[in-house]
Amino acid sequence: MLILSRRRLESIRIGEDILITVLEVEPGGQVRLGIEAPRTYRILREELLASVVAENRQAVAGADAVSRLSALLPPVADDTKGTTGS
Amino acid sequence: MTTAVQELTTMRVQTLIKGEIEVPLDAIITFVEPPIGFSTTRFVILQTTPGPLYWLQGVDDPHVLFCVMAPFEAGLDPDLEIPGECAHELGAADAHELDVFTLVVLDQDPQKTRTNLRAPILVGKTTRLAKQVVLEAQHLPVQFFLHSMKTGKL
Repeated sequence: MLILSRRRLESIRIGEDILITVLEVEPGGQVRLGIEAPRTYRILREELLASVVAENRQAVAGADAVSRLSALLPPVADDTKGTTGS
Repeated sequence: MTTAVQELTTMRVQTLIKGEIEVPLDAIITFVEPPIGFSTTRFVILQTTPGPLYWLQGVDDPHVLFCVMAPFEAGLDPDLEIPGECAHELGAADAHELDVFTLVVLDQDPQKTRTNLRAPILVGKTTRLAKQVVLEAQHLPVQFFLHSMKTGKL
């Protein structure tokens, strides 16, 4: 890992088009960063991305998925419309 | 060669829940970036029960199957604040031209069945281009438990 020391309002540039600036260093240790980068980059807090990846993996449904879904729904009174592929 | 043209308007898709089905090509959804953490980009939406729950079935791998919810159909109005550039990336003029789905975790414990409102899947209504986006809005939970809904639609 490359380690650089920066003070408030000092920046780091990554490549041509990414600029990260330290905006504020709070006494409690929290650091506020300003990030300028093209919109094509997905910029997220690491723990948020990790939680989305974990939740996505959990969301993969198995062969029992239909019965799990049916268990979730109240019983349907009559024959139903709106299903696709029939 | 009209027969050849007709053959190209549908394709056969192996699904986990309905076996092999014939799907019109224009019903196939193409992700501009695959769902986060996955590599499958082509999906089709299926439904087995009426209501706001659907299946997002990977076209090229039957084992990539998600249950998804249309939150607005479910009576939720989660104020997603979808940025305009997300719509533009999917060929849509604005968020009104997008269908919104959220991934559902069908937990073994129905009380823990939940959906991810923070990272919805956006689909261009006419372009059928899709992307999973992680929204800025911090009020949106990654785990929204469906039993907390009081809409009566689930």
